[in-house]
Amino acid sequence: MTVGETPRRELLELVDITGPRSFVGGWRRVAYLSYLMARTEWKLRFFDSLLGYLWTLVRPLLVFGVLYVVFSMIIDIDAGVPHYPALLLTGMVLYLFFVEATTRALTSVVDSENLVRKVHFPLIAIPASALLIAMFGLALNMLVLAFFVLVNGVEPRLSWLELPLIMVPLIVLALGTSAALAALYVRARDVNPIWEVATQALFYVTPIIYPIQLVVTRAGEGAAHLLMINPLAAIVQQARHAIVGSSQPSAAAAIGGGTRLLIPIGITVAIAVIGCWLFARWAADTVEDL
Amino acid sequence: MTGGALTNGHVADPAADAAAQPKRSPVLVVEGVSKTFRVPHERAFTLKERALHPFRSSEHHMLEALRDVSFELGSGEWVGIVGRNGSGKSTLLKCVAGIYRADRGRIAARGRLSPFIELGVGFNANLRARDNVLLNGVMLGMTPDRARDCFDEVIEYAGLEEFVDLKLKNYSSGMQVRLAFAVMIQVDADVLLIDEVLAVGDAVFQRKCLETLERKREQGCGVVLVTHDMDAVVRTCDRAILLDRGRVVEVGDPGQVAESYHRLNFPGEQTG
Repeated sequence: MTVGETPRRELLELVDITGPRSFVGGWRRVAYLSYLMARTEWKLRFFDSLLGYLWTLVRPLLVFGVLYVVFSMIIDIDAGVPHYPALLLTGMVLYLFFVEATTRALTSVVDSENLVRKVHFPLIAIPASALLIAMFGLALNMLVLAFFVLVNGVEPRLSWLELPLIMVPLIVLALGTSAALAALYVRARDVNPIWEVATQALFYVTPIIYPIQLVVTRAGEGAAHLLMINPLAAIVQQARHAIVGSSQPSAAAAIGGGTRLLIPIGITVAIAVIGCWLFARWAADTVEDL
Repeated sequence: MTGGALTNGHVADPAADAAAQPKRSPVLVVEGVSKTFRVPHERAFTLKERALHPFRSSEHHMLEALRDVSFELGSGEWVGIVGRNGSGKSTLLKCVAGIYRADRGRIAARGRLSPFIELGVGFNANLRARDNVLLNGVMLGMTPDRARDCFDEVIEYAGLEEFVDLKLKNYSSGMQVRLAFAVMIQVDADVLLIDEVLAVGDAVFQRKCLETLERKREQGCGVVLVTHDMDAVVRTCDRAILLDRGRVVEVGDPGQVAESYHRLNFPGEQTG
């Protein structure tokens, strides 16, 4: 429909205008906006750097290199588990994705003040665009991961096809957390340093530098079960199982039974629901509060 | 189907609606709108401040930006909103645009509403014209396809064919404004909300803008114009509304309202 055929204007209904909203205009508009904002950000981000997009790939590899040297050669943490480097890199890539998405989203709404105050648009597109950027980085990193895993001597296996499915709860978790953090940040700026510390803690309660077997041998089965309540830990463990096979227990085995997996899944869903609810309630306040 | 249609354009049962409405039905209704801002004296931004001074957040005063403002806009009608600085003009426009939430009252629009509170929302200085047109267009409610399709038209309208490959930061401010205005007029809107953005570019471009808006008026597009330029109000508007400290002081003929505006500004002087 174009504006040329406007006699129908008279036939349109009066629609109430009720102020800023986090979710308006339908999913397609949210998707367009998130995608465009992410693309712009992506274009501008590596604007002045020599390696450009390559930094997205190089950064996790550098961190991986440091951790590998420290934990494999200096501190012997690998507990004699096969394919330790592959496990380490898997954990790194997934963890860095989560941290990047949430950290960017945290200040995103407040940083976009100049947009928020000038045009009526679905605010959720702002943290969603941060998530999209992180997802693009994740996709690239998965390719690098595949390469290193092969170099590490892991046979390609069918269970690799599970990985996209495992990314679903990860993305839901990242979106929920992002929305919650962005909304909280509008109310209290302390969320930023708190989240910095929280992500550090998350690094250690997620099997990244250590294999889950180490937890079992040092602290017992119960500790491993407890660890798997952390949704990110369960996701990483499941990804490791999918990549290297039976030498790594699946998330279900690590938590001590498939039905118990409902706990991390439930937490993920709860975070997503609460995050979106908080965002819908609070994010619109930015417009008037800043 | 364009993006804006998703926002607020579902078509009702045509027969029933047409019968219920008078011939020249309003495209915009504003009824008893009030807006009060809480202006904190000292803002508690951190938990520590909140914890140490739990009652401090109550130290603020209320700024009544709008009090019981009502007006209607007919299809193809231009209404000028005038008033001194701080009289609530821009707040009113932002409430209508859905950027602020009105505390009381009702605002409703028929069809698509396009706010031009500021030109070039979403423009980025480090991007070229093409990316900026796309971004700005989608922000204003176009679909990406529509924004891409209208690119050549936008560039032609703005007269920027030679500068397409420059980054926006290398444009002169007049060129940026021309580009922004050219995107804005591409939006299919039923109601335009314009805040002081008519004073764009040189005299030639300004005339072009006015001609374009005039054509939109003939197509039945309503315009709410916020401005300090009384000549523009008298020349273009069908009606004018004078706001003072958030209240509607006068509604009516643009010439008379312009006179009242002058009296309000310079109480001692005789005008006309």
